[in-house]
Amino acid sequence: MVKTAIRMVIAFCLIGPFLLREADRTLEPYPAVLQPSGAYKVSTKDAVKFRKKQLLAVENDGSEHEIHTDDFMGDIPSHYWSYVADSRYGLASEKERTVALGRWRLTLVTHKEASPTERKEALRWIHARLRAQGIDDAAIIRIREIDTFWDVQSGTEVKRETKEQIDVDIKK
Amino acid sequence: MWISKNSPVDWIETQISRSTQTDIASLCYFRVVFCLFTILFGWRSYTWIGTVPDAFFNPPMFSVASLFDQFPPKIFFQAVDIAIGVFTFTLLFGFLTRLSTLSLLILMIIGNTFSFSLGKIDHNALYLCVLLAMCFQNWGTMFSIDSLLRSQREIGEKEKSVDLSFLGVLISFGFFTAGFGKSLSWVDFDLTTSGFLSWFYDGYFNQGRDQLLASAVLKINSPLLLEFIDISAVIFELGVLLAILSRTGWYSWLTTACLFHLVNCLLLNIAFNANAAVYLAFVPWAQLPICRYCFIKRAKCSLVVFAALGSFLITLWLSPARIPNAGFHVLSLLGISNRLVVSCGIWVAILLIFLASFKAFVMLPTAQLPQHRFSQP
Repeated sequence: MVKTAIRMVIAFCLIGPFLLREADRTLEPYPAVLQPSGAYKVSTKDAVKFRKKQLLAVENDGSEHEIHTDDFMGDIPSHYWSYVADSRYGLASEKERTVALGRWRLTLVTHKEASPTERKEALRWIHARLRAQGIDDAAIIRIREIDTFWDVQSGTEVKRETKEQIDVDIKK
Repeated sequence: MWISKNSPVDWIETQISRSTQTDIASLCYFRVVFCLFTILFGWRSYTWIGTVPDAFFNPPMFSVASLFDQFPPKIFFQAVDIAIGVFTFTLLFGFLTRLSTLSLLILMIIGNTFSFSLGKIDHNALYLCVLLAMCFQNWGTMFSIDSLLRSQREIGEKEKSVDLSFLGVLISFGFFTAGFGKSLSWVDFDLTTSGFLSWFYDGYFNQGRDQLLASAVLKINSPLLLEFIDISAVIFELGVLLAILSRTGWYSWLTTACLFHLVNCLLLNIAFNANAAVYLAFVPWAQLPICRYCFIKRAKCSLVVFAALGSFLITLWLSPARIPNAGFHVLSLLGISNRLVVSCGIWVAILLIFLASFKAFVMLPTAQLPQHRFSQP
């Protein structure tokens, strides 16, 4: 009986998180025994197309400066940069998402709104990181997603298309 | 009871148990290998989380961190880092082994849960699975301070063999979760799509993964080869569910896994070093001549060497210079600064260990198990 109970607990602890992730990636729990799936595909017929995220600082006069993302993150491991950018560096307003789990509907807060103190702290951090790259007077951080088309034969870029652009106001 | 003694579940459990069985001496030597590997190449530090603005705090919904409103203060993460250093050290020497194992597991889960509160969960769970599985094993029985402190007694026949089926199941399930989604999407026999290239393009063009042999992938002009790569990746990741049912199959799969990671490192520039420490749990270390020499013939001498090395590496880490992963640091001083080259070296070395120990592992149940304890060399 104990053995059966142990088996069932182990099965629940393994399968439960997996089913949650399969239902919706934002539901992935931690800790859980899950490995990255990455079950995406690309077309091999067309030219190579990939989406690139770019981070820019826009100064008061409208001039753009590309930000070196690895340096910008400072002590934070650089592979988190695009995820932190997705949350608008903590400056986004609250965002909710509803996930359907069979009959049930689950409402998730994907980004919580920062308090005024947290906002000030985030702005201080952003400006300090920008200053470290020699950008002193930025008013906006621009997160731009670009589709880039690449010619493999010549190893050159064919064209670029801006797909999405989000401006984050960082005026103090 | 709804599961009878001869049920298919029992049969599967018995097969997995046979496939993953090793001996207690090998497991105790693995403890030392695991700790040294962690100190040299897999050190985790969490102090940086203390510098992250609280506005960035965005924990997974189902996690310990979601019980908090913001990141704990910097001193908390400094304390976690120091405690990890101390328990890695005590685990290396086998002092309060079970407590050290459990403490490391809890501390790393706490550190990771806040680290993953920036919107991304890293998938390094298999490393923690080793610690979880070892909480139920006696990997401090030999070559440890615990064995010196305990009253002397012979290790019983039953205790000499070790069942690592729990760890085997965790590894298999982990790979199943990676392969399941791919099997639905990648195995399409459509030569105009590629799953492998979706990983490659993102890494190559967006994440700077353009080193070693990565540029050679751009020259692959055979849709058939790309489809073959997709299907073989799925077969490898799901094949573990069958492989674990036989001893030869399991060790062959582990050996293939080393090759898989080596190829990933060369082509996709994804190192996954932490998994190396996981697979090494199944190596029959006690059957390898060099380990017999270090751990049995020169046991006390080796313990002193490991003590000196471990103390030096942890001092390096705790010193103002803060040098984690001393292995990478030392190699960079020797002119090998590219971490991917080091990772390839690690995977080649581990692949060779698996190939060299293949026969010993498959024959282990019938081989004579070592009789030695550290205190009775």
